Amino acid sequence: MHNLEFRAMNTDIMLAAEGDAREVAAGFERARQFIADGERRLTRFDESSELSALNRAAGESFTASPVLYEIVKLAQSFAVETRGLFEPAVLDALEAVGYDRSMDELRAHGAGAPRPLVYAMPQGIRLAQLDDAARTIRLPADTRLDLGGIAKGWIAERAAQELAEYSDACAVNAGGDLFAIGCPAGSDGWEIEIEDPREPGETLALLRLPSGAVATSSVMRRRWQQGERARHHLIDPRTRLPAETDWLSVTVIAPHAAEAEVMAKVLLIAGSGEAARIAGRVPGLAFIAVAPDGQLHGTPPAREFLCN
Amino acid sequence: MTRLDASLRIVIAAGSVGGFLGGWALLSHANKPVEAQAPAQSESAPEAAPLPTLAPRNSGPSRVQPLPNLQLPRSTGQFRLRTRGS
Repeated sequence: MHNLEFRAMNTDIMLAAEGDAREVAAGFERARQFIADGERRLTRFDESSELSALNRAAGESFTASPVLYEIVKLAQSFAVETRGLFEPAVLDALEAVGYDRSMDELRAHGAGAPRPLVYAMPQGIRLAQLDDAARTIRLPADTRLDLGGIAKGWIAERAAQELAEYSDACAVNAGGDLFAIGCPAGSDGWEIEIEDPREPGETLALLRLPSGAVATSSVMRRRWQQGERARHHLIDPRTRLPAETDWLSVTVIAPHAAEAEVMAKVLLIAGSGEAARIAGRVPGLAFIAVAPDGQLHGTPPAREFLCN
Repeated sequence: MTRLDASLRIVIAAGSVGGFLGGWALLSHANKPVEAQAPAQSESAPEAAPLPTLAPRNSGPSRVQPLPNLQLPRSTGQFRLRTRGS
């Protein structure tokens, strides 16, 4: 297995592939370039990004690139399907709790000062007007998007598809959001460790997956202090504050990476009271949650992927 | 109404009431049903199968349940990926 690790999208990226070494190297370069292009286009931390331009144009019609249009449309459909439990229009809320700079900068220099929420849009992205023919997006006025998670998943899957053209089997792992195509030689699936959210570096469970997507959302990793308040990055759209949940993390196995990423967030926000009902509406989805005592929880489909 | 019509109506009504009262009297004096005989030793009475309890709303394949904290298998030397919150 050949692999390449680097930093992008403010997280650790790993590319893994089997095949001819020269072909795989070319595939790595192509995938790496794709990830870099995606980050440039979709980061909220760069004023020159296309996403930043879209956010500045809120209230007006904005002609988007095919990549941005596809992701915004996907995000809107997830917001509708989850009845707003997934909502990327939380940028104001994230900045209000101190996440107004990249996580690397936040960890190095501390969080932004508390800000009052200037604007709260209950419907968020569901009110965005999209025109498929013209590829235009009209965000509601004063609505700004953070596409961080869903973009990461989408990019990971597309990068894997690029890499697959140069390899016999491959996987792209973008900070824990991963997409695998084909099986490693001599095996019936990729072995995927689920990290213990309480002990970074420790493994809590092992999955085996022939191909597809796995994503994990956690309230333990992106945490910071804002004054005397402990904050984390997972905003509950219903309160516009960091979610209060009875789980530490949720890992989702799904056919597609963007879907896995979105549902990992949604199920973690929902917690043990609502997660099963929400997950039951999504075909082909399994999830594994980690409680504060380390106990795993999930619905029966998850057992299929857990290793003995 | 002719005298004949009135007479017929009276006869029919009387017959209906009389039939009802007679049947009631007959049944009230009828023997009680015979008690069911005890089954022979070679036979077993069918037991009423317990009715399945109504499934709670959050049950069935979609119910969240604890998963076994499985003993991690020894490393096979196979390459492994890792998922975590980012």
